[in-house]
Amino acid sequence: MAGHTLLNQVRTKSEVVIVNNQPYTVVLSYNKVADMDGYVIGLKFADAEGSMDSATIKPTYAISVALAVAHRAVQMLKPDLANTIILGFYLLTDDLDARGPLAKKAKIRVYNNRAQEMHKALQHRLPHLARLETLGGVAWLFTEKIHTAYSQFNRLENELAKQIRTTLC
Amino acid sequence: MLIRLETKELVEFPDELGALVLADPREGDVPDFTPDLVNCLIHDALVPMFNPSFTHEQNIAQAIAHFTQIGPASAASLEKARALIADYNKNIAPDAVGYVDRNLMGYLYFSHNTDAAKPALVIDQPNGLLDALADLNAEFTLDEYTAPVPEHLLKRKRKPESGG
Repeated sequence: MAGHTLLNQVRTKSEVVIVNNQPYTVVLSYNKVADMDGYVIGLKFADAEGSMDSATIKPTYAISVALAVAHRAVQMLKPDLANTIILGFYLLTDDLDARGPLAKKAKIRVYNNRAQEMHKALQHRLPHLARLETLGGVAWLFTEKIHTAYSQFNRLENELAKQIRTTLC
Repeated sequence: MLIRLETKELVEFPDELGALVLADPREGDVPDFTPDLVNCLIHDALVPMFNPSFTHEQNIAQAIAHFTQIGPASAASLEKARALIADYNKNIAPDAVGYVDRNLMGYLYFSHNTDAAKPALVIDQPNGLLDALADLNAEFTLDEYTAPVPEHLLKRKRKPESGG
């Protein structure tokens, strides 16, 4: 949600996870929105790009990395979970289209699997998981109340002026 | 269909389970995924479901039940998915099962920056947004707009990127 105009970022939390000697970063950005109690948290997983020439690194058992990073994200979220009302992450898909529709579709499936796994760990506090697809992006929102119950979200949707296809997961 | 578990053990899973993963009815039509992408996707879906306390047979049955419960995939999707699994079986050597090259892995699993010039949010009705923001009293940035914005509402520009 970085760059979104309705959010006021108050802090970030960033941790490095080492899997098979390779570093990966999990970043949480904590945001406040006026008239909403609690945090709206954005989640980002980053590869340590540029830390090594990727051509010299052997292929990786990727699912281990994915599970370790998602697990770490859940652990990072837990201390503030009581004060969290919305957690989300998204993909912008315009550039993925340039790389080819297969890449976009594969990435959406991978992110969807991560969202489902994380939801199992967080649903006692954030019971609703919605997947929102629009032209140019896909977002996953874990929410305390159903996302359409928030007037701020409805305002965002109107301002976006694009059709959003919502799937409740 | 070979799957590599987190213990690095190679296990034979039924091809049909791989087809169920690829033909997931929640994802629409089955794209022409390459064997490399199939390698990634079947591990991504199936390895997390694998519980080391159960036998392989129990885990496989559990995974099949999971996908069956989601709902039926179309016959066309399943047929296509089976063909993709057959290609995976033919083209991915046992040593490569479960392994993804660094470039593809970084791409599929992690956030990355889009072109810095592209806005994350294009406002078609800037005056409408300004009114809404005045109500919210929120910090405000616009990457692209068509009407002049009052100076005091402009803050720093943020670089658009995927993530959260």
